[in-house]
Amino acid sequence: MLIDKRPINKNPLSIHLPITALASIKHRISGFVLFLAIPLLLWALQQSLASPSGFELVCSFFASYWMKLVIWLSLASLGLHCLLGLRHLLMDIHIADSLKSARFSAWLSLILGALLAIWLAFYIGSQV
Amino acid sequence: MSGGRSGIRDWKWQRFSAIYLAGYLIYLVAFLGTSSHLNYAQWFEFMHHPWVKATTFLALISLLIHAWIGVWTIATDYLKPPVIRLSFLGLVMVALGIYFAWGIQIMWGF
Repeated sequence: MLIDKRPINKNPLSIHLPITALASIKHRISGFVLFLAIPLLLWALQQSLASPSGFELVCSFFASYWMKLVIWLSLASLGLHCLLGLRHLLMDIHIADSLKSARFSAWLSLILGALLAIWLAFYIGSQV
Repeated sequence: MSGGRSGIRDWKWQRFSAIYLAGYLIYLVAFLGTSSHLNYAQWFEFMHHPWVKATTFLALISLLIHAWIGVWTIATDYLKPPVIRLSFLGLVMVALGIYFAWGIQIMWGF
């Protein structure tokens, strides 16, 4: 049996990712965050529809500092995930699927996603 | 779904559910964006409409399908030992099953 002696780089932070790879990993991370947010979404849906007091409960629950952070993370992830998803759907029908335009759309999605996240931070932060 | 011989089916389901969810999201954001200071009565009335109820339930099913394919893909790439991967995916499947039952309870319970 051959012993593999090729060097292994175990520090992922030392790897410089191409922008398309960064877009891909962010698509996955944001998707996983959204998966984790499903029970919170269902809980909020159930309570908010159950009764006026349940509706108030959800509103006051989401008004707390830590929950605002969770809501911000979830909504920012949702926005980015949709933008990157749209990028994939367009590529599926051969829109912007060359390397050059894929790099551009990766940059564009990430920048728009970041702008949305900043706007959401201000918007959620200003809600009482 | 997944674990079969072809990824084409997963690929299609991922896209169909994505398109449906995107459409549903636009519609929901449009409703929330156009109603300032939403109260319980408005929210209840909106969600109680048969069309909204049906499309919301379909969105929940799409979300669970979409999440399963996405999490399956991630697990297949990063969780190499089969015992760990299959245990994780088993837990995810149980969670999604519970969410499905919970969703039915929510949609038929109000």
